[in-house]
Amino acid sequence: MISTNKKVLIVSLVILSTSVNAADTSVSGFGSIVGTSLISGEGYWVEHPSGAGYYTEDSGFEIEEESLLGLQGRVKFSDKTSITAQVIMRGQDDWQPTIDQLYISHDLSNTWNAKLGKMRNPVYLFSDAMDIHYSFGWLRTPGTSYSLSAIDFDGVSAMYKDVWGAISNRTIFYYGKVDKNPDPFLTELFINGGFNTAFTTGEVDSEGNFFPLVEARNTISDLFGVSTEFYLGDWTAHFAFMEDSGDEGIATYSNGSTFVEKFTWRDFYDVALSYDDGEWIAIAEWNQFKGVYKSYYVTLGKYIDDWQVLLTYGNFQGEVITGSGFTLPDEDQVKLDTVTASLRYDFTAGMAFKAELILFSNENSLIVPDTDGDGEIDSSVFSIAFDFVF
Amino acid sequence: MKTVLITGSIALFYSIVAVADVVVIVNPNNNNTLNKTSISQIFLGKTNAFSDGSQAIPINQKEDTPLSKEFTRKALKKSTNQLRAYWSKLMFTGKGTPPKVVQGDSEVIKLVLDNPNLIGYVSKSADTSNVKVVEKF
Repeated sequence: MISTNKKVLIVSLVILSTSVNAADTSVSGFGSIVGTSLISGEGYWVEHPSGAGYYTEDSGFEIEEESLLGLQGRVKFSDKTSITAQVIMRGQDDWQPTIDQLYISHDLSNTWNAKLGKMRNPVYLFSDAMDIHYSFGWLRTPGTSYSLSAIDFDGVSAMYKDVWGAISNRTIFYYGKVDKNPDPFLTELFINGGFNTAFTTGEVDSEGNFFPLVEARNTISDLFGVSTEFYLGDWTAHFAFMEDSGDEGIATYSNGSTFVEKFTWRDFYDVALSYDDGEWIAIAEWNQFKGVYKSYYVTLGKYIDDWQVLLTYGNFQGEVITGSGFTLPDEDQVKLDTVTASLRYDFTAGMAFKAELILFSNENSLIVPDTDGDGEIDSSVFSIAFDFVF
Repeated sequence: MKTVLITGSIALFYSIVAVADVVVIVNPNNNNTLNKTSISQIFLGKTNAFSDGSQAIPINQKEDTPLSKEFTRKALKKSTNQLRAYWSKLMFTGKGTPPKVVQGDSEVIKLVLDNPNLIGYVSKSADTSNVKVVEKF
């Protein structure tokens, strides 16, 4: 019996490999083999994408959780029209393939492009490239700031590209909906976390029986936003705004009952500035998810021939307001601080070796239990990775 | 032995000199004004158009050639590895596709002659008498 996901993968690959004109078809790919070990402390949870990677003392050297392989096929029907499909297999999902992107793209002019289908949400500076580890210097995108559940959507987008002298611009307008059923990020968050601002981790009936939460689903009926980037020489400035309305979190408990948490609308803002002259690199990004959190990180780095070293400080401050309008007191809000040292070595064409050390401090942890009861999670995590594109 | 070494050194010197200059070429009928900034914008996919609004299609040479490395370093201010990482972000996120890659100066010149929307680069020593040289790096 072939699973639905495998059928999807087979059909996708057959479509992509049987173009009428082979010259118009291209297949490329990317991947990462990531090994991580907790060095000290209670544990560390890599939030994104999809809650990949939960490392504790018992995990040892874990090599499957964050490893992934992606295949992208593009069939070009004309100079202006193409279809792109991206399939990703993740170790955390037992290598079951999922279609992460599937869209038709049409160039309306030299400056406008339209897409329809399943796409990545471009709110962060690196959000749509979070799985393309080869494209950035860190081993993974900064966890303090990249923690939005709605990282992709089904809908339409319009991309505008233009130049004004030395300044160039790329702006994406998008609209769509989200239905993550189940939402692996929220499921992990609520099942393991005791994070009870939206749901309880279980339901207790009138006789005192406890039924734990088994699955969380997230639906957003209307999601729209604009993400714009300006480029001037070695500088990039990124601004993004997103609003979701009709946002529902649906928890299913082990007795089959469900609980729905509704939010009328929520806004997300992101601002980033980066500098990269081929020798030095600096990135600063700040974002706010209204009623959920504020976060930022700052990265400084240097290229040395085929090597790259980066130092990053990240901060996350919870600002949770529940759907019923209750604001959690500050002492109950989640607070994160991370210091990350990253090393990248491009040792051959298309492949990079990376090593990363994260020093992590967390109050009111989302996931990791405070086993020593001091009110904080202080952990250090070391990872190595081989990232590649082909 | 000494003569061989000197001859070899001179050959190496001239081979370096030969790739030290890269010239950017367009079709003779392309009357757009191009400078180092606009060339970089086109080859990094930040624009798809020349200044008159017509489509701009960059063509690259194989990335492991000295000429390509020189162009990437001087015109795009990136190493080959940095450029590969740059394009991996764009091509897997639907924001752009890297320039088509062709083999050698003569193929670039032939393609540019055939299509006024193309822009490419060749070595300074290439015969560019039939195309328009718009910039040198």
